[in-house]
Amino acid sequence: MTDPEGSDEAVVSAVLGGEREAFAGIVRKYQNRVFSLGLRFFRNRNDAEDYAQEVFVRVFERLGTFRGESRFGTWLMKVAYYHGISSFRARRVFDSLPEEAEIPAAGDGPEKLHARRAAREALAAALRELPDRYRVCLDLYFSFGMTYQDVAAVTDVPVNTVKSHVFRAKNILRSSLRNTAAEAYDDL
Amino acid sequence: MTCDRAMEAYLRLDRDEAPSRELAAHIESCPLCGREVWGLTASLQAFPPTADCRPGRDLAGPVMARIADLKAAPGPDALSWRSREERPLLSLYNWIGTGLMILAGMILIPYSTIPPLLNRIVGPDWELSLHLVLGLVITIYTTLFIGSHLTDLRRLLKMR
Repeated sequence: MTDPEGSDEAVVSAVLGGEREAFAGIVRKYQNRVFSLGLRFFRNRNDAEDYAQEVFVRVFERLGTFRGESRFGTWLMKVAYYHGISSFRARRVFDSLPEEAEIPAAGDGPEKLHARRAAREALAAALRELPDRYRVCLDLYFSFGMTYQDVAAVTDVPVNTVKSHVFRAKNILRSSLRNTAAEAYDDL
Repeated sequence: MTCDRAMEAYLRLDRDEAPSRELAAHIESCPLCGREVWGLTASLQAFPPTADCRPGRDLAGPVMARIADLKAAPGPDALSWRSREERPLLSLYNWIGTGLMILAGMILIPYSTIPPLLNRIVGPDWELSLHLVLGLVITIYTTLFIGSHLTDLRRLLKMR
């Protein structure tokens, strides 16, 4: 992920050098990703926004501990992920398909919309069957577009284990979605 | 290609990786596998991309307001972060490990087969040569260590 106004590390360096205002650029660049992760832990936009704000304040406070061993974006998502987990330690809910995140595609007719909802429900049911560790890896990999290495860095799981989790998750989904609306969705 | 092998190969594909010609041909010709592949592909596409999830307002304003209220600010002197260019090639642990190995080598030399060997090759003055070599090794080690930690040294001096 490149920044036209300079690398994240240059911005971090500027913030650490005393230019606090430069941190606003970091917030603007990553707010969608952090908010999106917040929607997975919390089920409404207000809580997700509060969570995102807390994450950015926490990131600012811990900026000094960023050692540059991974990309800044990955490090930020790791802080966000662990903050989400600790906020919901008791519940430990990670919803890969938060309702708030549903975006209807332009030009969808009622039939297509209905099929999309049915497919979505089938997928949500299948996802609920997945163990948490598989679901998190699958979501970070597909929704957040992270590489296996990034998912490993965020979740503190070895890369090969992440690959194995994603493979097993896809295999379980494949079995769960057999003969459901999700399988028929593409026929429309 | 059997259906089992085809599905295993398909599930092992990376996110944007295209299937091999053999796999694509199987999916194309086998209605069962084709249906499963399309169902799974459509489902995985249902994962909402994060770019589509936006907060209702720009969070930079409220975040910066909260940051302005913070008493402690991250300052360059209190930080362990440094750019990739500044980072030393070896970690501190590796430096300590190397130093310990040199020290252990020095201690173990009298108990090894080296002294009689040197006695035979260099003669009775081998101890002087050995001390010269060890002195050279320690000088190189120290020079490299200081040279690669100049930033830390400068920071340390500035703090005092």
